[in-house]
Amino acid sequence: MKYINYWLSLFAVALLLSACSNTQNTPPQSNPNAQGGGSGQQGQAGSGRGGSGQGNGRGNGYYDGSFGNGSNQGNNNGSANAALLKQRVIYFAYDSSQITTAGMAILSAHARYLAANPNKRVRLEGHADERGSREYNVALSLDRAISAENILNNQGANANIRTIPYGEEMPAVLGHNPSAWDKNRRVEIVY
Amino acid sequence: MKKYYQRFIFLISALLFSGIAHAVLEVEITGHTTSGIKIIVAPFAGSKIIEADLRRSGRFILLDPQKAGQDLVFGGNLQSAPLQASGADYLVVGRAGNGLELEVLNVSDGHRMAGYRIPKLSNSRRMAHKAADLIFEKLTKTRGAFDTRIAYVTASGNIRNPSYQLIVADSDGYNPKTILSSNKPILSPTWSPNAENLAYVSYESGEPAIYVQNLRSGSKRKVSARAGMNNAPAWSPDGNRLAMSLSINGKPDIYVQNVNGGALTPITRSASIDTEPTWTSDGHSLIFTSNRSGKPQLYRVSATGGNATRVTFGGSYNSDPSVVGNKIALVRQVGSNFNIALKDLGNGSDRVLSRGRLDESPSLAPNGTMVIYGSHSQGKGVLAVSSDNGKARQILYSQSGDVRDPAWSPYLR
Repeated sequence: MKYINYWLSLFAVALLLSACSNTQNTPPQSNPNAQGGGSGQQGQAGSGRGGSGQGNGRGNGYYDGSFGNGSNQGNNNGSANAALLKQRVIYFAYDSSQITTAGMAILSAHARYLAANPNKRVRLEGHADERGSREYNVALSLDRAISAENILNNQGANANIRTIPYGEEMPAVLGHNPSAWDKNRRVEIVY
Repeated sequence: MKKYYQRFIFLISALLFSGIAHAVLEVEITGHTTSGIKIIVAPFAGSKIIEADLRRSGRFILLDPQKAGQDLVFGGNLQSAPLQASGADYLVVGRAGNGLELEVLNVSDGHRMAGYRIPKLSNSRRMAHKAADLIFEKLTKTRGAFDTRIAYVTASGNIRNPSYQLIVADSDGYNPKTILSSNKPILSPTWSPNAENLAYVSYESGEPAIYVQNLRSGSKRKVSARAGMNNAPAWSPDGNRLAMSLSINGKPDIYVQNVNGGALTPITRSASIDTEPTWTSDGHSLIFTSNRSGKPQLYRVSATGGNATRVTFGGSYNSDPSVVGNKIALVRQVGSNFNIALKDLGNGSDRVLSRGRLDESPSLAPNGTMVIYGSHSQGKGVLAVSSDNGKARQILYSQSGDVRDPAWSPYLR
């Protein structure tokens, strides 16, 4: 099991690296290490492992909204903002489209960026884990993308935003276990 | 037997020459009934196919023809003492010639109950499926549904370089034919009532759109490519309309559209997820999944719109209905597992049929006696078929990747 987790983490990092190579010409540079740290190190749900990077707890896999240091919320701190902009994936609880506190911080940073760059185009790609029925999961993933879109719009983004629901069809991580599911319930922000 | 090997080799070569990268699904029987109609099917060309069909229904116990203690010759004297003592209720004898002839006999008195002649068909397995349908109907008073087809999706390759195929095959997985290949997801195949067209969702343009494809010509056209979501097409029983889930107002709602285009009729308008519509057999209503109560449950609404009434109450997750008559197959969360349940609105029965962890996409055979669904075996996506009484179960799997999202065809013409 240990080995599986190890390979999964490695795979996730490789995946993120490759995903980043597609976006290298866009201004908010993505940092694979930051994302790998946030999503790749999580153990099983309930393991209590804290997320790294922005100090937002990702411990129980259900994103209960405990936001670690709180200093990034509505801040004007340039470096914290830059770090948040590098985050391109927000995660969700099971069968939920509710934006978590961690997701809110990331989306707020992108909303500020988009407000300042009104000609940018952005795609919000919604995803679900494999549990439950396929078509409901497509609808759920759309609902997640729309939740993210609403945050961007409400916070001043004046950009061309498209939402694409993928349901469970494009998992970030293979595997039929809580650790894989945690990483697959997501919206990817693609410039 | 030799004939079958030759056919098999021919099939393999045909697949190789046509460049199709998948093979016939392999079958593993994981459950069979210990009660039901006891029957002997005498050996003849196609008899093994008939046996497999009857076994899949969960209503027959197939006895070894050796038990008859005599050659079971079509038209011969079939009243030996061992046959009488075999325990069989019925005997089927057959003979292949220009087509397939068969007879159903009552073992206890030797009475010839029925005789059939099935004309020759280029797909020789279809003759056996038709024979199984006739035997099934004679002995259960229910129309057989073995001579039908299934559509399903395969996914192979790796997570960064996936390859998807939409495949149509006989109901037992033989004679697969790829009708669409893509490196983008394909899902939700649904049959037209005349079994000549499939509607499905494909991401081939980069965004999800609903297409209708003719199976004979292969030609296809886009029927819905609205911004956001084009999801879960379902063909009306009259063949004229498609129900689907669209996100025109942000939240997914159910709409009905003419297959040939034209105006869109809104069916639901809620602040929740409404998706997975399916038509009742009379075409008057739609049963769909909604999370308006907080969790996914099934609801029923008139096919012209209006107020929806809740259909499922038990459990925290009931979704993805497949409807034939009074029967609804659906996905239900049971503990931490997702299983296939069968609800009968006629007699009120409601039972869980499957035992997997991640079962989904149920689709009932047109006579409602079997359900095919997506399941997992050894970490891979497979198809499973269960009889409606839960007694017979088999798995259809591919060596080369995941198999999923099955849709059972209507009766063929």
